[in-house]
Amino acid sequence: MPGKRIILLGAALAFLVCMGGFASTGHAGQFDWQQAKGTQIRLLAVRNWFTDFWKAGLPEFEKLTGIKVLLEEYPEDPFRQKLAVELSAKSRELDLFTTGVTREGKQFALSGWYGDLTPLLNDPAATSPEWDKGDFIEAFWKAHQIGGKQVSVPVVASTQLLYYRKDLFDAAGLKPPKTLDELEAAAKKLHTPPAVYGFVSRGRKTQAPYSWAHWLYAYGGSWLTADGKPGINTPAAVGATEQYVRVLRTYGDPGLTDNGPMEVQTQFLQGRAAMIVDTLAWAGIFSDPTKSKVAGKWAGAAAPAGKGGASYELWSWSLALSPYSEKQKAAWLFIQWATSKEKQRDFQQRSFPMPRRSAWLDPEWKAKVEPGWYDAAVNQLSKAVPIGHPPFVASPEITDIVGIAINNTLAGKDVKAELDAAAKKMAEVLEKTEPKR
Amino acid sequence: MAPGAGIVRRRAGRPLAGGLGLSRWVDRHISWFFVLPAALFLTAVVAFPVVYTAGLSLFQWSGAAATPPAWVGPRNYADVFAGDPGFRNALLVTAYFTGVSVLIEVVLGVGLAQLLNREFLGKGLARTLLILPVAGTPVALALVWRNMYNPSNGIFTWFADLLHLPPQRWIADAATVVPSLVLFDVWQWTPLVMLITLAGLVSLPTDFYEAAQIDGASPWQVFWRITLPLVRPTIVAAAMLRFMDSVKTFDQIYVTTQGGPGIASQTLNLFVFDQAFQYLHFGYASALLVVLFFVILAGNLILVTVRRGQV
Repeated sequence: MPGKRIILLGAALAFLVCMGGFASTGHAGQFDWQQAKGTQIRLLAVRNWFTDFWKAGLPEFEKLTGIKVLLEEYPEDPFRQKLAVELSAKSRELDLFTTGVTREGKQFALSGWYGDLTPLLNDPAATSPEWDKGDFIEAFWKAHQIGGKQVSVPVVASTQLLYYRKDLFDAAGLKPPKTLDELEAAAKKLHTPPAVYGFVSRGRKTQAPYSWAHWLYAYGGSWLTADGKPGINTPAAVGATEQYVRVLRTYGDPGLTDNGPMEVQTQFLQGRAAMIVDTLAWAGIFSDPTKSKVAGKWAGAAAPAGKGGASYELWSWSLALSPYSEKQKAAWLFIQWATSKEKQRDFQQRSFPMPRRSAWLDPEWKAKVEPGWYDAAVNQLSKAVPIGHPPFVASPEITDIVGIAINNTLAGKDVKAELDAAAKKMAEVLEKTEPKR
Repeated sequence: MAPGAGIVRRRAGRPLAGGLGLSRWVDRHISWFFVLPAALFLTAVVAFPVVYTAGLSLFQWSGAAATPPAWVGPRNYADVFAGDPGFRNALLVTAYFTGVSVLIEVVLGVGLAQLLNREFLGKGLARTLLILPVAGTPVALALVWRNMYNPSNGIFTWFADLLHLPPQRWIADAATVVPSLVLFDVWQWTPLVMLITLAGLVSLPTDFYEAAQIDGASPWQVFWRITLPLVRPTIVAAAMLRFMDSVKTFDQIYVTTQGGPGIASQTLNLFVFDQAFQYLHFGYASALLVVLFFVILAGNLILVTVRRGQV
């Protein structure tokens, strides 16, 4: 096969010339992507669309760096379980992992489970000059710092916004709701069960707090009061919950107490929900006529505000280094590759929202997406704050405490009593787990 | 095989071993060496985790590298029994789920085994179809059932509609979630009870039945007076298997409801899972596991008593 070999050699040469060309335009001379050649690193990841893209790109990464990546992926819950086991065992077999810093960040940081990226970021030999950290949307970049240290790099960007059925709104002469009261009024008009439910949201124990938190903050509430007490049973929180529960119990679907993200997405895809407030990441699937009954019939808008204005939720998966890894430089090269401008633009154009500014500014892509969704997304991302998960060491436990309370109120129990009981439990957990100031 | 092999060793070793004490000792105790690998393996994979869990249950530990486990003595156990409402709820839900599902599975399983223990056309096909659920992957099946139970899109809702029944919310309603899970469990595991019972029925001696026929016993009498007493040990064995499995059911419930709505379907095993891997209370979770172990042990002791025919 000499012919094939010559072609390969030619391709390799062309590749080298191109690489040289890039390097000469760089600021600080040639960046050495091959510095950790021959290493093998292991990545533990949550199963997600981005892991599919990474997997498909692994040969490309191996060619660029000479690093072999073992990518192990699991569904979210088993993934978290496996990760906790490996990190608590100080496993040297693990080099990097995906993490949701706004959820488990405090707990992980306190346990010493994040490697510090700051020295690597400041080392020109370790970080490519092309990998422009200033290109990340500031809110998202900063959300991945804890105690002045960069603990991870975001790989997606999410905020909750309003999706509504434009066709139904137009037919009823309605405008998209700007406030939660308008949302309630619109839900009332468009609620024609079982064909269409006015408003569908997450209500499942572990998922309810994510959706409910938007209402909490829109009412001017917060997870914690100014004097450090649980903020989930303040008058603002009770007001927010009463409306949330009233809207869902009156204009929601019968599965409301069991709804997770898949159920909410399915109801909208099937044309059974007039409105949802959920992650901006679903625009792609909603517009895909092979999967969606509402392609071309929906529009996006800013998440409705409440009496206390509007806070926009921030969520992202990110990549972090294990502090017990002995191959951190190689692992850091993978992070740079997975979050490079080229990769993020590529992912973005396949309808998966990215935390890089440059990915959002591509005019050709912008012309193709739903304009209401685009405007709301860009505006919200720049202002987003991590409110969807309780910002505590014991975040998962408090999520469950609050989730069970909301779940119970959605099933008809008294709002004030449930929130009071939950606040009491939450205070006990905080007392035990939060580091004393 | 062990003694025979030992003799071979001894004969072959005699001229060489001569007066060496160690070699003679090895020869004399050779049977132990055959058991040793299996014993070591069992110690590593069974005994060690059990001892480690029991030990960890006396500590408070969040799994953090920065903070080592802290000795708290029996406090975790005190917390469990001093009325952790989550634990109490989990105990009740587990008893409800296990009690109802095992009872239905045993009754239906024995009935089905009776039906299949006679010759009819398509018997093999019926048996194969009936054991299909046992062969399924629990998580995949659970996802399917979760979709079937969806109150607005699920097939059960469609059936209920067809029969003009009032709309049900299945696993989305605290009152119907455990029965819904029981239905799923019964569908999946009744065939196992049936298979085990069928094996017992096939091996029953025929002379009792002949005697009964001569005496003119009715089929009902034959079943109650002959079949059931004879096959009881087999049924109890099947019930015991189902009981142990049912108490520690995890995947089905986790995938369909995650213990919800609220904590209405949070069994002991799910409660322990949350404590350990969601909240990282490893010490407390270990104490709960030790308690769960004794719950299963107690249940089995009761069943063993039944099997010996004392009840």
